[in-house]
Amino acid sequence: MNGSTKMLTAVVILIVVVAAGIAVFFVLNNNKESSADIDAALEVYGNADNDYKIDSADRKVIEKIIAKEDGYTLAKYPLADTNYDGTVNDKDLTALDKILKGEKTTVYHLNYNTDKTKYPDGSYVVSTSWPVQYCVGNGGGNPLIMYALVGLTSENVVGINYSSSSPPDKVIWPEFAAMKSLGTSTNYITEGLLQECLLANPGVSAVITGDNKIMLDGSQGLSEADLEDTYGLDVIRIRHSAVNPDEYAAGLLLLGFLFQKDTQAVEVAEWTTDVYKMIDEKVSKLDEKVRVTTSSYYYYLNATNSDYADFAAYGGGNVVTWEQAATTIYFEPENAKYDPRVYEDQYQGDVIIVYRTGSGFLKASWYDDPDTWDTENMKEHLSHFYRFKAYENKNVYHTSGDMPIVARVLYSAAIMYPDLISMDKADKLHQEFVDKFLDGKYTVKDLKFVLSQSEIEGM
Amino acid sequence: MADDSVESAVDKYLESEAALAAGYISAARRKLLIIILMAIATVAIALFSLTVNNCGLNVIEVLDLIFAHLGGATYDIYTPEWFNDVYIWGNSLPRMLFTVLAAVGLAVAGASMQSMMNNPLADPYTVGVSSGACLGLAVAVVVGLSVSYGDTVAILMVSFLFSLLPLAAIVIFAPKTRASPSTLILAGVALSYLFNSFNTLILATVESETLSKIYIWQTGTLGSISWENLPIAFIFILAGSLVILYLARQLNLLSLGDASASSLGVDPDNLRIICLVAIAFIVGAIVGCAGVIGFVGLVTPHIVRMLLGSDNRYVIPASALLATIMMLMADIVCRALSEYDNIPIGAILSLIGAPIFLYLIMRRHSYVWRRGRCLRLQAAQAFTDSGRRYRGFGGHRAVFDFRYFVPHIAAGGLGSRH
Repeated sequence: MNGSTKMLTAVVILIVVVAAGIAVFFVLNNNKESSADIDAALEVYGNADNDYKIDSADRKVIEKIIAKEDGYTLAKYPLADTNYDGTVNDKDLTALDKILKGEKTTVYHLNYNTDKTKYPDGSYVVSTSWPVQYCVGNGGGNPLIMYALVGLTSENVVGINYSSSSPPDKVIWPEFAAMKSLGTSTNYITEGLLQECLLANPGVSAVITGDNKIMLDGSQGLSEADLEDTYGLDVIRIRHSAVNPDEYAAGLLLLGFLFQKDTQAVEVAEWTTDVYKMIDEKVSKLDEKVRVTTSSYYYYLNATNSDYADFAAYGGGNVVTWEQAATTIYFEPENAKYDPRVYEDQYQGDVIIVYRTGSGFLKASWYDDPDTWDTENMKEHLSHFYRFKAYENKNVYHTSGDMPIVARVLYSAAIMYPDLISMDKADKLHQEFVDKFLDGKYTVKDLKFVLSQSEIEGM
Repeated sequence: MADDSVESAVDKYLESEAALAAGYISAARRKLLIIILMAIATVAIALFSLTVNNCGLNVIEVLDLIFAHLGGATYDIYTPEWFNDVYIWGNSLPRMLFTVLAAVGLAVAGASMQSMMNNPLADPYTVGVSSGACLGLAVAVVVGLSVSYGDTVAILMVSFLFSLLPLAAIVIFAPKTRASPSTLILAGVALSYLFNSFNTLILATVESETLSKIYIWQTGTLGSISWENLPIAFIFILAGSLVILYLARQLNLLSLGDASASSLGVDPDNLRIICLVAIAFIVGAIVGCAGVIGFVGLVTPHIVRMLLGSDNRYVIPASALLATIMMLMADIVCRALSEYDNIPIGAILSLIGAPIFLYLIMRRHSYVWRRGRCLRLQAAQAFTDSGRRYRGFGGHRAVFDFRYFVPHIAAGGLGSRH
């Protein structure tokens, strides 16, 4: 072989290798998209294989159930009953095909409600006209974050209900903050105001709210039944405050599916699950976890089964608060519900983490210039913890209750385990989250989301 | 000789009674006129209340819409006409109707209670009936009954049953202790405290969301009234009110005192028990549907007595009308003040009722409680009835005996004429 032939051969080999590398790269990426590493399932009937999306694989499962193949039964794949009529047959395939083609149809999915007397396992099945384009939604901080994570804007969520004492943050949700509330709080919707909203926004077909049993219970304003029966609106109840990554991801996946914004929901669910796993891996190597107590106000602690306690638990802490009948625990003697057992050593954490909204603690926004914060109010609220050992040791930390849930877990871990997860790392991951999923709404390093006791006292 | 003086006195009495009867008939006509005017005002305000909303319709348009709905009219969904129909028919109309029902019930309960207890401070709250109903409401919510669709009847029944508890205590203990009306009032106050304490204990143990729900309910709210509430509330309130209206004459006699009433064939203890049961029906229904709505039952009978005297045949229906006017106006204020409809009507009624009550206390219009005036009215009534036999409560026949009243007249026991 002469020199030019050798050169040509080398170039061809190089081209083949590069092309193969590019092909492998694309194939791997596609596989990564089609098999995301999340445990949560899309809780919509039709998602027969119980993964995070409805696709052709679900059709195969339904076909096998119809064909009565071994191991393929409705009991094993309950979501195969696409039209929720109790059986799996050709009608389910027809219904699934409509979903796969993106045609307008009715879908069945799980709603969540904490009313255990009515819903013992916390969920029930409802039907929703699909796809959803416009809705009225819960205007609380957590739901607004979830809408943004899924890619819903004020063009989709055309009306919200919120409390005047906790309106949407003007800095990061200016379009929602400008909306008039449709009710006195996130729990209620006033009929006259809903009518005004529906008149101004034709096409609204759904109402999104949380899983709290008091929401839309009819005690003030419209009930879920009123919205469904009188106004023909589909009520969608999601666990927008869930700390459990699978539960939170399920809500994201459901919203993403209903509004046909699947891709972003999967990415967020994946990212969140990865962060939780990272924290768990680091903390699991420790012999002993940090003893922690949580609070969300200045005169009570959270019960161990509350979402706030979950932030610390998923952050790797050992939540040791005395569980007083699973309710809020008041630690000031002048309160009627006070019990001195709250101060027993076994129930006091080495660290107290207080999750506060900006409006209540700062009298401003966590996303705004710290010069606008009411430092006197902050110091006064901090001082109420003086009876605790954590306060004596200057281990009371206040952090934002307005930021994404995964960020609250991250900062909780950073507070408890600064050697394992530094505050800088938490800030970096927080910024990554904001850039990827919240359109870079804010710059983390310009703001302060964790305040130590010393910092507050020195203000 | 003694018989001659009695005969002479009777003759004089009969001569003067001609003028008295004419005065009585004139007074009766005046009272009827006032009641008719109040009824007209009630209808006007009720119709006006239907226009206080976001729909922007006037009274004529609202009436057109209601009649059209009754005629089976339908509209395309989500059109302005459809929204108006949903709101007026589904929200405004049942709310207005319940307000009328509740006002009637509370006024009837209050007026009758004041008569049978012979105490101007008596109303359903002072004998513990409302406290019992509130406790029932708290228990119902805590055990998981919701105030929304489906559980309305259950909550109402629980409230009614609990409202019978203080009543049962009064019924059991009153005969044994031969309690006077004022003693019953004090016992009722004590029972109110007892049930309120149970209520507080429940509220102290529930989570904040349930606490908020119960608190809103117990401050009195019409915001969650729907057609679902109306049928059973109507039955309970109507039944209780009709019983009390039927017993209005006997309640008049009760105001003479137990001894006098007994002599006229009225069994005071039984009468009170029947009335209290009827009141429990009324109050249990109202508290179960809308929570605690105070002052109406206490204040309106007083105002009415200032205008019409103390004859329960006029006081009770007139109180019902005046209470309806007050409650409708209070509800209009609630809805005008807040577009979120979150102002409790109980708070507004207290704001209105408390100054009026203070004024009444300061004016000391206690003359309407004087026996003399009641006796004179009874005598005039008996004369107008031409001395017909009076059928007392329980089927006992009693005859209006002039000889009973004449010694009083001779002794100048009637007091001055009005």
